[in-house]
Amino acid sequence: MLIEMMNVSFTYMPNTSLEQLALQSINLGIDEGEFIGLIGPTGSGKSTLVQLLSTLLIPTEGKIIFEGQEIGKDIDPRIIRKEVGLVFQFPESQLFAETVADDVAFGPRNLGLSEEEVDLRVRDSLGSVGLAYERYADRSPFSLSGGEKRLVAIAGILAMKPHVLILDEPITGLDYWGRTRVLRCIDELNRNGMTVIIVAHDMDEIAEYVDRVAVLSEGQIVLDGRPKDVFSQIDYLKDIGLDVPKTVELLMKLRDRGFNVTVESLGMQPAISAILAAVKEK
Amino acid sequence: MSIASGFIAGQYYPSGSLVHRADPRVKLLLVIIFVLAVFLVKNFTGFAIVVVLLGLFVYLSRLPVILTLKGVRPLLFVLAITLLIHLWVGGGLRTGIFVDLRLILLVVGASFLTLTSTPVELTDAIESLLSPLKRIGVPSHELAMMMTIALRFIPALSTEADKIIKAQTARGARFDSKNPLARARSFIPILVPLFVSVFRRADELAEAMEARAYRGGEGRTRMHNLKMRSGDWVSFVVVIILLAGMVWVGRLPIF
Ligand SMILES: Nc1ncnc2c1ncn2[C@@H]1O[C@H](COP(=O)(O)OP(=O)(O)OP(=O)(O)O)[C@@H](O)[C@H]1O
Ligand SMILES: [Mg+2]
Repeated sequence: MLIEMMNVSFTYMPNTSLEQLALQSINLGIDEGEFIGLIGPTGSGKSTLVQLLSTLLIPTEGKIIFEGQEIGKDIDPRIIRKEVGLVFQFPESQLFAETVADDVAFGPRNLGLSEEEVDLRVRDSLGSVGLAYERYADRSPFSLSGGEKRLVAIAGILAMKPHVLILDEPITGLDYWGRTRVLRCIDELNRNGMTVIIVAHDMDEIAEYVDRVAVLSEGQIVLDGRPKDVFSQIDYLKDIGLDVPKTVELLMKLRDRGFNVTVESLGMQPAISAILAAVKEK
Repeated sequence: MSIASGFIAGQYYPSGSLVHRADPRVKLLLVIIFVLAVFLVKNFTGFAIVVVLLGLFVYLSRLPVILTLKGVRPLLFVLAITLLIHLWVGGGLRTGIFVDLRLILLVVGASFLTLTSTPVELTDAIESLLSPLKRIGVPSHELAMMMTIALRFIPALSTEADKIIKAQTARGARFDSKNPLARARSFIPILVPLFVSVFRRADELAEAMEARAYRGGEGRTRMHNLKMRSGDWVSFVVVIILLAGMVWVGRLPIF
């Protein structure tokens, strides 16, 4: 097991009148190479959970084990921060440098890499998010569109080559192409062995990429499993205020009406084939 | 974690006490008079009375004592310097201590005000107290609105700063370099995004206000009208008498 959260609770501003319990008794194990989707309604604690994983917050109770060592006790949180890259929610608000290339280089420079290595990584990571180096490197990050800023910010984390990549709602507010580009890029990194955790509101997009989905509700993990198993609990998910992927919903409705469709794969294409097959059968 | 750690010094602390419910104009005027009175006190007996009075007010307003003192902490350095200068340059220990005491009481008095009145109440109070000056061209409504907005922005900005610091920390930024130049430079990745967000917010807020047809104070009615109740008048008079007594004792030629 790569990372394990054991009985972790987190309270904002404990012992004040503004005390706010954000997470309660979280148990979550993350294996090397997994691609996990973390979903939950607004305020359910997703951002808090990923900040705990990247050691920017320290649990008020419980412990987090990274490769067998307890964070904060056996191992310095700063070492973990090099291993775990976190792309914040609305990361475009962290851009500051004069040029895109400089901004992306901020992380790798902080790692103390040589300038050649930094330059290489900047080119690489801008390439992976689909921004052409020649076109973007010398532009001011503030002159970019919202979506482009987001991609630059993601590139800034990728350039640090983290072992584990965590993204907090990276595709919220991007258009179809932006989303697809980001997700394809992450998927590719995952295929090359990176462990990825992606936080999402809208299930539609990530359903077909992730191998596992964990659902948070009111600070607790209420479901955790393979996407199709989690999404088959349509009524429960709707109860806690989540949308299920439209494909799943359609397939479920068809099955209720007596069509012989299997809800095996969650992508659009497989869903279309499944429906066509079922309709022909009738 | 202590009780004060989550609080910014002087942030409103709701306890629903008598003092919290009092008219903010009364509180504002009394604090101003209190601060002036403290400057008139010239002996230790007087200062002892000031402290007892303050203690009484804090007790009545059911505030945790540590919160009222929190604003003093950032001042400690200034206080030490003031004392040293008085010892060195002349003036002596006695005046040095008096100056320090006055500074401390000033800060405690001011945070007492902001701990027991919401920013909105305070600005309403200022607007109302300044409104007689409208005739000679003082834009009291605009001044109050500017203050409200400034106060309203503080928590938003501190949240934003917190988020940016975390985001840059996640990118390996460090703010503890020994070299002062490197240390100053390390704040650029925080300050630039913070300023960008301030200007963006200011723009958005201005647009949002205009979209709702805000055009300054002329002819605006308000949701909460300040109203003096008999209790407010009584407490105003009582506290004035107490302060007068305090100043009288404070100027007697005793220790
Ligand atoms: N800095 C903070 N101070 C106090 N409370 C906070 C803070 N950040 C979050 N909270 C509270 O903790 C709870 C969980 O917040 P969190 O940001 O983790 O939710 P989320 O699932 O990421 O929501 P969203 O989908 O809106 O991003 C919320 O009730 C929120 O009000
Ligand atoms: Mg969030």
